[in-house]
Amino acid sequence: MGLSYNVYLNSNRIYGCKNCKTHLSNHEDILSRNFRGQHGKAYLFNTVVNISEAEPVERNMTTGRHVVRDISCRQCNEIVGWKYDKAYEASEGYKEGKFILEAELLVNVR
Amino acid sequence: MRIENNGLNSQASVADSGRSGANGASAAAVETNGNGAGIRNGSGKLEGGSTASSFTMLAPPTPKPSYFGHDREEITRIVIQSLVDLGYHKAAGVLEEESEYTLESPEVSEFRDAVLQGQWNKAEELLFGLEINKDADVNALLFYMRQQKFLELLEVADVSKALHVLRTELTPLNQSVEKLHSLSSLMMCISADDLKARAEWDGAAGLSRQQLLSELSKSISASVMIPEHRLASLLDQVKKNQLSKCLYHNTANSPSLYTDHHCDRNQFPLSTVEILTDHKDEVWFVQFSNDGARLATGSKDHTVIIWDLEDFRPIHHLKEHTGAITYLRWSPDDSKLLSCSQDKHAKLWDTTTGGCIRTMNAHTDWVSSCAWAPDGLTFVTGSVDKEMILWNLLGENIHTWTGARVYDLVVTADGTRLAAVCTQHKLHVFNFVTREKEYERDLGGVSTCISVSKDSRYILLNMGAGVQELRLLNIETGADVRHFSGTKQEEFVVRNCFGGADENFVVSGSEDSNVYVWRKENGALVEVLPGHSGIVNCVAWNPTNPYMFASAGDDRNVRIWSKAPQPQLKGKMKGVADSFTISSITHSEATQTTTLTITDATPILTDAHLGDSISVSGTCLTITSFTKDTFTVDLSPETLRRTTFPQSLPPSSSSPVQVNLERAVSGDVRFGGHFVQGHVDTIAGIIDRRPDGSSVVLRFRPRDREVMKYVVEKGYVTIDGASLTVIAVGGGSEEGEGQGWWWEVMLVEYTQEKIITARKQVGEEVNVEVDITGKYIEKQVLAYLGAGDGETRGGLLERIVERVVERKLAERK
Repeated sequence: MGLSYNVYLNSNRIYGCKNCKTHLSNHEDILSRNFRGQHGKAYLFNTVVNISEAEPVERNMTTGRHVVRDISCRQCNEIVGWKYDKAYEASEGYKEGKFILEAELLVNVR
Repeated sequence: MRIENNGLNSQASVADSGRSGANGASAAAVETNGNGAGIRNGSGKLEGGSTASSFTMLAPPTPKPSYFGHDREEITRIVIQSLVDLGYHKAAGVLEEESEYTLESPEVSEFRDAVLQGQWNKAEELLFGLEINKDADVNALLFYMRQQKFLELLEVADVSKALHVLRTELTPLNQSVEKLHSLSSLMMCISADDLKARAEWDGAAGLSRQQLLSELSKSISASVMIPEHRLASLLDQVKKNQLSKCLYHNTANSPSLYTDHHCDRNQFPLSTVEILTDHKDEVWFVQFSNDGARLATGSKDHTVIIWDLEDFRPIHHLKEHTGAITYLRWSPDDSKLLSCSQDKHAKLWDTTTGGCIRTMNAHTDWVSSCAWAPDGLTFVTGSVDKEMILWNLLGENIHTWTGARVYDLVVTADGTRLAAVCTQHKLHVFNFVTREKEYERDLGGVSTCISVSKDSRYILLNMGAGVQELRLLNIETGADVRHFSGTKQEEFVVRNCFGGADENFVVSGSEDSNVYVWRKENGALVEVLPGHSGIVNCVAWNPTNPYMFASAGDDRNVRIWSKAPQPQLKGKMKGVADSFTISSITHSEATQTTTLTITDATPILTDAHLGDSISVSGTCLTITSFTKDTFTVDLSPETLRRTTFPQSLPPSSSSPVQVNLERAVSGDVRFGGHFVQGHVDTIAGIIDRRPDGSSVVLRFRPRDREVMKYVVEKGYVTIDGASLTVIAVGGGSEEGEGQGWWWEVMLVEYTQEKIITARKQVGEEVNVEVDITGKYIEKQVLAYLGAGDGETRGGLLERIVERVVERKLAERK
């Protein structure tokens, strides 16, 4: 779909897609490191860039039922994590609109 | 009383008012001496008449006829001035005599002479006698005159007099102190030459007196002393006005004054004349070679193709990149081509052999852009890895600019500047020679493309998400000059270019599949050209042909646009007697009917009557009105649903909508096909097209699969009104059902010339009517079998079976 350039972040610690090194988020945007994904450790981020979102699905997670969508790197289409659309439990509401990136699928870019 | 001199008197008074206007005293003075110098009628009678006229000035002047609404005097004096400008002094004199108007009153002539001869005191006196503009600074004028006097005195080394002038004449005028200081410093000059150099003044014998006169005349009332070259400046205004109104102005020539200038729309490249389809994925870049003979295209399929523009065939396929091609640039002499790719390399190719000369792989991220220095010995590549690198032809890194992640960069044609746009929404301009940064400017939005005009003065930027317009900037100051809007550009890179003779136009691609063209001078939108499906990524104008440009799109096509082809030229199609063009389509919301108008249809209308049937691309329509060469038909909503007729002509069609026309069969004709009702059943798309010897085989897939029941091998099908034999039916096994989903027809050479379908490409649609016989048979069989008409049981077959079973059972008993 046309030529589209990546967004580039400015910070000292940037996480990028392990596959193609596209910038995904800053270290400063981490909200919590206490998550686990299919591949192990995962972090909750405030904002991520250069991703495309899939369709929302309902999933049962260890913390309850949520509506999530998988997110993948825009350039190489590898899945890098998911985004919380909605949390059914009130205590999990803080996750809504935030992103999970799995540590295993990330790499430090400079 | 000399009543008979009334005419002459009136002349005198009219001439007077022309000369010095308000000043009543001088009018009287003029009266007496005016006849000698002014009105050169040469008749002695006038002398007597003048004294009488000082008493009969009250007689109203007989008005002379105006020149088509313009003041006769103004026109005549301007013409006299033009004649003098052109050098026809005798003619000017004759005109002055004949018209009895003078170009300048005697005072003005005297003033002019005084200045030109350096008689400064006289000139000052006369200056006050002339009508000066109210807002003119008299002191400034006097200063200017006296300055000239001062300089001339210095020139002849008359220092004491010059000093006297400086003290008594220049200083009291209270002009700026710096000017006085600089003038006094000029007194230190040793020689006349030194003086002239320092003061930037070319001496009394040079043009300085003329220039002084010009300056002074600007402050004198225009009707007294007509501004210089008045006719020329009026004509300039007219030309500018006509040019700005001419939307399609595509020539560099200055318009002739003989006719009102108006460029014809048909001279503008509006139609697609070629579609180049060789690329296997989205085409992201296109550029013409500098000599206009070749075209280079770069695509997401990792290849670059160099095309020959004579026959639009590819010359070379350059396949060495391992990533999508983002940018291409021909070298100034067209011998080399630079390509930039997402594989982080830039490659230098030889355009004659198609071989890669060198690969530059210093970048650590996508190479986004490149540009040649005008001498063709060095080039710059830019990348989103924050570096712009200057290379020589050996692939050596001469210089690196670091700092900005560059999306696009250009080097001006005069080699003075390098301009780049970056991810941080800034424009950076460097001096290309010294490599220093001149300035950077925040653009307020992301810019995906930068182009520079041939005169190296303007840059054109495409602005993306949020702003969505094109901006023309002055490269010296970085200030906005003009905006061009209309395009859609949210997420992707869309490129622009200057184009047309003398770069009169600005062209851009867009995410809404159209190509946009504006007039550069005033930002007016000239054309919106549809044709591509998907984003139009890049546009390029042929530098040597103002009537050709190219566009590259996500639909894998490169379209070449030019003037609508003349009916008799271009390649394999010969006279297409039965194919006609729809000239207009109008739609009425009230009746939900669309009306088609077809012109140039004389051959088909020979014995037409209102209400006659005419088959338009296979659709039987009724003629609702007609003239000798035009007719109209109406399309009902049902017709529109079933056929390929558009509801409206695309705005400036890339290619005109053509139709085949056929009248109803008459009684005595030889019947070589099958009965075609003209009742279109559905539309079908062309899914494949291949040659078979000199014939062409077309494969169709219908929109409504049910019609496949009626299409049999070697049967008839009517496509766009032409009765054709089905040579094959298929698509069954892959789809898993027995009926199949495509059929093929073969068009022999003769048919190819006659029917419009032959010219349609894969993806286009046709009107389809299946053989009616099949439908009748089907209905009968279904009726017999009882499978239709809402019967739950019964039907002939069932009853037959029932009776046979009953009989058998009865027999058994």
